[in-house]
Amino acid sequence: MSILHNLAMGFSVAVTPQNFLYCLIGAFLGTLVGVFPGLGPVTTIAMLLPFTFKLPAVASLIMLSGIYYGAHHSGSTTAVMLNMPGEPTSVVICIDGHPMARQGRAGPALSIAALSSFFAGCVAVLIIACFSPVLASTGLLFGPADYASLIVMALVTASALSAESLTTTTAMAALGVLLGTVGTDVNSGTIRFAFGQPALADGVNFVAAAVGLFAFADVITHVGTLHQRVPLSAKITGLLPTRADLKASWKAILRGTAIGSGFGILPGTGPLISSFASYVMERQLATDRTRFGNGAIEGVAGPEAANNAAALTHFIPMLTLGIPAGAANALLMGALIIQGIAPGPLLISQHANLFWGVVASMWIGNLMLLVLNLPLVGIWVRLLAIPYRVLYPAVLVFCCIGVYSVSNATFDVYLAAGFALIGFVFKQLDCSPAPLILGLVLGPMLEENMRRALLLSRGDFSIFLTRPISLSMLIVTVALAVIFSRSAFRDRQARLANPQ
Amino acid sequence: MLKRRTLVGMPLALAASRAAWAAAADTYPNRSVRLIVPYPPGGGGDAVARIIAPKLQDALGQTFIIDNRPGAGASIGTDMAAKAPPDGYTILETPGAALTVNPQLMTTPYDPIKDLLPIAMVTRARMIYVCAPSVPVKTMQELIAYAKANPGKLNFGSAGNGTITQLSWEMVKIATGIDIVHVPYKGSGPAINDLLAGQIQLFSESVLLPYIRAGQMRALAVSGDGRWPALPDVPTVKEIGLTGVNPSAWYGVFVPAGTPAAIAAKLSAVVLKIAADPEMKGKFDAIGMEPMPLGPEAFAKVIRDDIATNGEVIRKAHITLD
Repeated sequence: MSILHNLAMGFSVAVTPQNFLYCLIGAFLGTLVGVFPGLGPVTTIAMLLPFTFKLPAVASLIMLSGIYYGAHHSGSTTAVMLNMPGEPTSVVICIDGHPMARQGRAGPALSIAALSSFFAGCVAVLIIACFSPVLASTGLLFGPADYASLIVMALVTASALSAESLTTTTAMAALGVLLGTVGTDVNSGTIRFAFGQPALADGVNFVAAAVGLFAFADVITHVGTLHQRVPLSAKITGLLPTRADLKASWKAILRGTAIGSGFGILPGTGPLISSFASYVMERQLATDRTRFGNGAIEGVAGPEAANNAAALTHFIPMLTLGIPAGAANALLMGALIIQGIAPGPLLISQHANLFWGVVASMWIGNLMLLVLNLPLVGIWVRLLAIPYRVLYPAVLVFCCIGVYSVSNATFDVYLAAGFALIGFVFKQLDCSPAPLILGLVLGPMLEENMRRALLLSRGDFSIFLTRPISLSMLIVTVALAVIFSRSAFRDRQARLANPQ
Repeated sequence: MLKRRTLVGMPLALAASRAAWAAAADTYPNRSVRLIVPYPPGGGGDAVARIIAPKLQDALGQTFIIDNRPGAGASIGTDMAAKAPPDGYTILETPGAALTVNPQLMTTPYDPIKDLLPIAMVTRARMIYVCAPSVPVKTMQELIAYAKANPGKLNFGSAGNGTITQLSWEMVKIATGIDIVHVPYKGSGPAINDLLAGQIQLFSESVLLPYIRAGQMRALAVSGDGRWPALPDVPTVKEIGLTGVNPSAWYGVFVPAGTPAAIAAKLSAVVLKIAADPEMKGKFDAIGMEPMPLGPEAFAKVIRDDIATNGEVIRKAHITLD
């Protein structure tokens, strides 16, 4: 009852003309920056932060959150259309979304992405509204040892990402982990493998890596075919998903939403892990795994739902404990602090208007995003008709702006160029860079948490086995490893049995 | 590349315009000024810049553009300011770490004393020493006794190696000889998380008021002179009698060394006036800071003292980065 009452109050805050307008602006800007590879919500929020100081706190938070979840909503667009993830969280969408586009099914792919984002968004907002205080303490149950085991589980899961051999995907993830060791070591403060470059002191910029490995490498691959258009093996067949598509997707959407809502609550890991996890889950559960990597619609629907659910439940630690779950949340907290509102355990009770107003605006924002994105599908689909010689220079320029803007560093643009060369080689060798991205993000977190756990246990490794959460994660990890290697073995047998 | 060309051209330009420079202060600033903040938007260092920039703009009639240059523990942005042309059109606003801690821990490409000219201190933040409610102590004295009875049992978190959050507890360790274990985090957020979860027991930061008011952390002491109005019941480290415990968290404005004295003096007067403005006090309060207008000489002394104090702690606590 009190939740209904609170939500009613929230909606009364969110639908005032001013707040409604800022919600629309936020959702629109988020959609825009989400589409461009490299340019992300963190940069956009940082750029707009100064303008929000003159706004009331509620309006400012409504707009900035809109940018954040709007970008997650639309990050899959370029992943589907151009095989370039607009946001790092959309990396897995490339695997099946882009093949769909090549088969002339870009419309259904984008529509299902918008629909699953909308559904997951609505569920996640409901979760925030009903269970925030309870879930906040769940996040606190995870200690460093548990995080370390969770990350090991995520990295093992990544090995089942694609039809390629387990060895290849595991090696790519390991390479990502190795690249992640560059930069300042949290425990000793030593700067490692930075070759005296201050720009590398904070590690390899992961936006630069993603843009280089995906967007730039794709441009290089197609450079010899500049006069051509994207080879479409089929005519564009309708913009909306068919009944069969919906039937194939709805379970994936439900599972993705559940995975995303769960992982999102944990600070740090969140949206990226959950989209990978959802993809692997769909691939393992499928009756015919060979469809994956060749345009399976579940491979778009599940991860897209997971990514959006996680992006929203990522707000829970910030709103209930004052702990930012990621870089974008840290900026939103900064916006509140400058407004004179200290985020923390008392935020919901002391600033009920703000909390419920923002929660209600997320619902409105999600609806706006659906209304904004579905008609856009028709426009995005025509992107494929643009010849490479026009499209690619524009893509390169936007990517460079995006990479530069992350920390205003030209070095990062060179870094992306370097990754482009590596990415090109990977493409020739048929190695998907997706596990590498996951390794690059999770590697430093694994090291940090593992060493912190050992610091807290005074060097006793049994801490990973005596904590119930950590132990269960490790058991699941071993089970997954066995399942994956068995199914990989079966896939191989099947391939050998009927060679094509 | 660009740097070298500017430097080569500089003496010529200097010779030609030496006479003009004397009068420069009258016309300064006649174009927009870049205000470098060596931290990302949203943190304390950024907040101070965002608060004073519009006031600088009002007072001097030119736009002050905030340029966030984060990275390498504020060393990247600080170096950028130190190497900027000394004409008053690039200024730096930063907390102390990049000047009083980093150069003692790593090779920084700048010299904190020689390459930067202090303009004015703007604010000071209070470091609040807290413990988790699970620790059976109410005061700092009780904590010290508890830690002595249970050596190696308590953990203190920090926002990272060599940050003031680490140095503040290292100072207590040195002053009292207690055995507590340092657990570094990447920033204060995750450390607060683990304190609430009970993984670590001790922490020190300036932004902990909401947790203290909610009863999720217990305040043991605050830094600074005199009680803090926000926590009137909490004694200062000085009152407790911990000698050598003096974590200093200030925010101030600098220009590159070699900036004409007249321009530096003009800037200094304006910044001091802004920091002393009663209207600003409320804004600084909101971000957990106290206005602390200190002119160039007094500020320079604080910096030299901090370099000495922090250096001693770094040596005694054997904090090394290599």
